[in-house]
Amino acid sequence: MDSCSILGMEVIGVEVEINTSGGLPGIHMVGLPDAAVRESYRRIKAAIANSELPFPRQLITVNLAPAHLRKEGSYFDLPIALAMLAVCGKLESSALRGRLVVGELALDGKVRGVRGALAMALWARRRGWEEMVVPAENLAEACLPGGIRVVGVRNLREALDHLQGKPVPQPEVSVKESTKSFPCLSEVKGQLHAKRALEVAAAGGHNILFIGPPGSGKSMLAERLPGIMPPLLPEEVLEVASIHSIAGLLDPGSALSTSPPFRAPHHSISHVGMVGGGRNSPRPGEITLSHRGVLFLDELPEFRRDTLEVLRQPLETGKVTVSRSLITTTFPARFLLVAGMNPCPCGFLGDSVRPCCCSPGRIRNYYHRLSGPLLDRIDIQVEVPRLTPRELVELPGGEKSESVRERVVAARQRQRDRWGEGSTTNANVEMGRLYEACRLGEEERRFMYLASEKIGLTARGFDRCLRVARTVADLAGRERVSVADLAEAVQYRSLERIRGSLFLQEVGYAG
Amino acid sequence: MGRADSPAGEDRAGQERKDRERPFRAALALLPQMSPVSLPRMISMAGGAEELWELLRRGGERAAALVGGEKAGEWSRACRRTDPWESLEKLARRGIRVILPGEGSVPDVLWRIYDPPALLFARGREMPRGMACVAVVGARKATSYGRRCAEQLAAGLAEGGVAVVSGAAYGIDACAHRGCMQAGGFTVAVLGCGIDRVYPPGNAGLLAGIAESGCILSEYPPGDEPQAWKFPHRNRIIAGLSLAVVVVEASSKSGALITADFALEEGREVMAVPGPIGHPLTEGTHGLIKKGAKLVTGVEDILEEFPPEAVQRPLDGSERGQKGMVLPGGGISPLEEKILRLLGEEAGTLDRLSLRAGEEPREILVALTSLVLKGFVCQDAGGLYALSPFVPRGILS
Repeated sequence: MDSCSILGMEVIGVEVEINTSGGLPGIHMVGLPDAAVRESYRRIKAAIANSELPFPRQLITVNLAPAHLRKEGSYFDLPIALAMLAVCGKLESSALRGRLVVGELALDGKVRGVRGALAMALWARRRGWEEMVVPAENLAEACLPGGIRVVGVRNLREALDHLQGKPVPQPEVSVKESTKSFPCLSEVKGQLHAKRALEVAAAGGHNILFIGPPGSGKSMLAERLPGIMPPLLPEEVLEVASIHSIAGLLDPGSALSTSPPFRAPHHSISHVGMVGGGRNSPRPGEITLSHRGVLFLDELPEFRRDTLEVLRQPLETGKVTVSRSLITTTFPARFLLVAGMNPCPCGFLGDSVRPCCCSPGRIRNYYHRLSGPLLDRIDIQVEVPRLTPRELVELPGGEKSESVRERVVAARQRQRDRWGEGSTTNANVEMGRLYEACRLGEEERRFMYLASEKIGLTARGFDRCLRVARTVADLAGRERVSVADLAEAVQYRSLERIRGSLFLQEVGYAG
Repeated sequence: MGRADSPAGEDRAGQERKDRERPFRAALALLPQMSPVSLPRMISMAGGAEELWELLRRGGERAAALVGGEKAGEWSRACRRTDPWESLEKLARRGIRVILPGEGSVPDVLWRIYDPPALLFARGREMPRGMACVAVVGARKATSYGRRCAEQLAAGLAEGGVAVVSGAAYGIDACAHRGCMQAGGFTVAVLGCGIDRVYPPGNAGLLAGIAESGCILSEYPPGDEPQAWKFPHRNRIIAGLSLAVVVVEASSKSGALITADFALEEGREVMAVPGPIGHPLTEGTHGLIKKGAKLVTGVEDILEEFPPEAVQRPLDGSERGQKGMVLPGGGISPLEEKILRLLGEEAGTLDRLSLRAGEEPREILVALTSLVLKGFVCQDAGGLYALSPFVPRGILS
């Protein structure tokens, strides 16, 4: 009998072998089963009894092959039960071949849903399986990839019937794509600067940091980012759905969502919660769940330092490797980071109404909680001022998300034409190719020289500006990067300016 | 007999006396828990530094009467262990000089204040003789307007051949030092801790720069910790060194006001830079102006208070404003001019500017960058843009 399990992000095929021999009736479960697998014996026994089916009265040995990999979860209840029924002569052993079976059993013989059905169906299709038997709960999910016959069973009896060749009633399943609706950008009053920055971030895949007092609308803006991002490509849709399926987050009875995922973990999140992990079989963390979507970290300096530092590798490479003593797994993690922070611990530095009550030392410590290497990877930093009640009434809402998204999609298309691959954007293309594509003229060079001098741009900051300027030009449909594009990009380096003005320490004074 | 001597001879005699006193004063200041506040009084009661040292070394009832029994014992032991010449030598090896009252390496006016320090420890270069000092002080948490004012005024003072004195704190102090150094001037930092300490830590680079092109002074012995009560006390030295104290941005409780008070008591000029009313950081400066401080809108306002021989006339304000501002593409565009006008009425965020100018935020951003680079607009925390205090007059006619 064939089944499969999930190990990290990968599906592994598992063969369930069963042997009976003389001796006192009992069971030996071998093949590195974990607690959930070892307990399955009790569930199986009760389920078979309550389905009024026979249970073999011999010494049973169940082997889960390959024997060297640790097996986790409750996927094997159903295949083991079916194999036992075959031992009792209820099934031809030929009926066990050619199909992949997963499912957890309840004591009354019902089949419960498992996580990762979508990923398993994808795997089964790739491996050329013809049929897959899944819990009825997971039927819709397993049908999403298509290209394989999927049978949903509600209980052990139905599974038996199906394997005996009797028809099993199947609920209607239709595979359709859907889009989640995100709140519209026009609901945010004013904040034209921040909205424009959001548009540039979406267009070029740039990470973005909002700095503003409490109540200035940082979270509102962040929540609206997925709404202006281009819809996922067909292969991305399955990739994302498969991740969410493994994490058990996929909506049952769901359709494939073409919207980018949006995750907003609280700042008390642990480092394992962020990158993924677990003792034996690592589970995806928040950064993987936001793969191809948006990861929003509000109150960035409040996050634990180690939790933020682990973001560095995925921000650079788009994946994260989790190593545990028993297993090493690589999770995909190409997400767009949106971060929010206050301008100072009390939140009112620079506010026009309330004075700030923080000492310079405290403000300095607040900014020092963010490490340079992390901030280097955030291309766009904008200040979000708090609006006065009058401005809230007066200011227009501005453009709708749809019209912004049109421009973003066009800019992404332009990047795809230029860089070739689907996932390469201005934010992550190699520097050499970027320079080639920017083709700065004499005037542009002079401008950047002046800007780095006057605004105190670092070498990294310079590169980041160039990337953002490339995106601004793409949004405008220009082939060359002009001084105006660079001038706009320079304005998205707020943090460098704030840090510079607060501490004045990185400036050379001598001579 | 001193009367009959020629002035040069008197000088020489005075110098010899000072050289004899120097090791004793330094060694006294280095005694554990010696308070710089009471040291001058103790010296005058004992009739001289050498005499005081001798008295403390011997200990006994007279010393106990002067400093209290417990300290007398401790200091007596310390004095016996210490060779004053050697401790002076040690300081010199670390690049630390000891300046005694009346010595010309700091402006004479310092020694005429009510309670001059018994000595000053100094690090860095020696101050040019006869150079006048002006203090530029203000809030630690300053706005970009204040920082720019401090920088520009300090630069102007430097060009006028005046040394800029400040306290090396964050904000206005740091900008005053920096502006002066960038204009090639001599700047003096007076610390509230030992001169070898780096405080505040964020200004390590600044202090290193000052030690190279200016000097760092303190009445506290090297290694002494920064403590809150030392800073107001040190402010009397900042005021004492200076002919005028210019306050740039101060809240109503700012330490800069203490410096201004000292200056007033010693009969030095007090000046203040105005700002928008109703802002917490202008309460202190506007308060000073109301009480009669001179309102400063440019470096000329400061320099005109001094006798002409004390200063060199710097460039005219408008000339300087344009110097060093290489305009990309020359001139300013109509939109930039519009923005300058709007900002002239009121500082504002990008949203406001975009709304009032009736232009796309994108266009405004580009124009603002250009204006920031030209130095006509400065950016504040909270996404606020404001007119720079030193826009050349010709631009907005």
